[in-house]
Amino acid sequence: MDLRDTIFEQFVEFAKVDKKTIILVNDQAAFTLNKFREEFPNQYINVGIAEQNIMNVATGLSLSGFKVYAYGITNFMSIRCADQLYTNLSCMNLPITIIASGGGLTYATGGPTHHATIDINLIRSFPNFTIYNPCDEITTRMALLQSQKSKGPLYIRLEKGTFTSMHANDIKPEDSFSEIIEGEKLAVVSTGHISHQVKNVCESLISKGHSVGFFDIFRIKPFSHDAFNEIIKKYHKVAIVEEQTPFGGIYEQVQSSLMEYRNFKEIKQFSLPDKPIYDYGSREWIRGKYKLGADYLYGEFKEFLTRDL
Amino acid sequence: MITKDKKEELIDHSIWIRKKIITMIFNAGYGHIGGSFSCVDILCSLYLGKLLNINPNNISANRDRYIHSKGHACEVMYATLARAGFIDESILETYGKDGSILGGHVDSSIPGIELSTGSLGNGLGIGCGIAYGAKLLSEDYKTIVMLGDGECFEGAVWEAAQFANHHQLTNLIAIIDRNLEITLDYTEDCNALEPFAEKWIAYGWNVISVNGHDFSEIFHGFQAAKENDSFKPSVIIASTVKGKGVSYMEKNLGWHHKVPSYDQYKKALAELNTKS
Repeated sequence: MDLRDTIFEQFVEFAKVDKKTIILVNDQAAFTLNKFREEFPNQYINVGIAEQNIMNVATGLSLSGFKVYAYGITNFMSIRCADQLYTNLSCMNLPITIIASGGGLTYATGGPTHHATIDINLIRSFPNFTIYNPCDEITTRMALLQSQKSKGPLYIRLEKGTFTSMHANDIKPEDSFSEIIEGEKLAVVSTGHISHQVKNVCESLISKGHSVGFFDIFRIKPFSHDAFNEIIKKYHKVAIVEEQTPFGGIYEQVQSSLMEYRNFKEIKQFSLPDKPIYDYGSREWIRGKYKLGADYLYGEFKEFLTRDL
Repeated sequence: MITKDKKEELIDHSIWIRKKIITMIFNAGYGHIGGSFSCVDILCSLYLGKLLNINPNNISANRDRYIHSKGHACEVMYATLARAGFIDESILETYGKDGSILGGHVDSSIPGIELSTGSLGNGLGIGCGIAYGAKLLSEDYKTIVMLGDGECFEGAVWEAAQFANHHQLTNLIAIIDRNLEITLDYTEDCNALEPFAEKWIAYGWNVISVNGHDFSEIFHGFQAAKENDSFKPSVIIASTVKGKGVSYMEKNLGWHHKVPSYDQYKKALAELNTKS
């Protein structure tokens, strides 16, 4: 199932039984939502291309006891309305769920205005926010289920497309990551859409006899540092891959966690550069150009594995 | 209409509030005096003239929602809430002291404050959300949002203005404290707001203009907004004077957040006393 259907079919289930569940969109469509709009016009507002106002209206509705969801393209639902997310949702700890469409280079040809490469870095710094960056159906559905329980703001990155689930059915939100493949020498950690590509690279290395483990982080904040450090301590080296700029994403999160727990290991970062990307092509092509392509990562992981400390 | 007795009572309240504001700011060594003084008479009408349906002893679900979007003008809010019985008067003396519940911007943890504000431009959109929710649930309370005129430089105000008209939020009343000044400049010298009323009309609002220091006009204007039978939200553009009540502050740009010296403080109190 397309992850957009996964999330919005679940949303519709909630909204059907609770008339105070409402969704605000910035003129962004989704197949399931279009049908919902026709059936429940009172629970759907296309606020238009006015994201600051979406967050303000969401705030007013939330303060009046509504269960509010807001959906739109990632950068506009984060960077464009950063003040409202911070001042209202974060500072007042309001249980509003942001569904951010596209993560990293989803809108590959869109240029830096549409590349969601700094949103997680930004939202991580806002108190009270919980951040999900799911890569499969299991964790996407889990993120939305959490929106019904959460007492504070939720930020969910939503990918489009169909993906093979990599997490176990019984995964819990507080786990925040899974060790998808168990290894010994090199632990590779990733998050979101690029996790699928990274997992494939790890499997190729394993098929050649290398000892590689693979981790996917589906909930970036809060993160289960204790469990992560306990599991990762058996590895010798750690590689972290993210489709984000180098600062403030999971690289820095994992690195500081390892340092805090005195889990001293050789670490290597693979991220997009600290620059806006004005190259236009497919997601894979841009990854390739900026040293995040599968072939490049394969070579780098192999070299990292075999290099002595 | 407002009776003569009622008007005199409100004048007494407004003088008390102004004296509290300047005392709080003088003792604390900081605060926003000009923009507090300019909206004293409006807040006095809302809370002490009981234009708002809010009972400090019974905060009901059907109360009117008042949003003080110009959150930096917090001292006027604190003094008014104390005078109206939402908080104890003695709390005002803690303003500026370590651990006080009274910060430099209004905070919803204080009894009587509906919403924490401080980042200008957001109150009207939040008011839209509250008013929209009230309409959906067929609640009959009103949502009232006080904005500074300088706040109307913010684009988010106009995003909200458009939304309110489109969704026919007749239960929403914006009040604009049109004191003509921001911190450094007069609004018209910095980024002219005029023709201001025409802009609100063009955005589809029911525009009511009043003198924001004349209780009769404030009452009339508010009543007209409440009884508005169009499909439009209402905005009351209240012409005010920044620093109103103290001669050397009025229309004097320095008094956005200047703190009076001891002599200035005494002179202001003497002037305010003569108005009783």
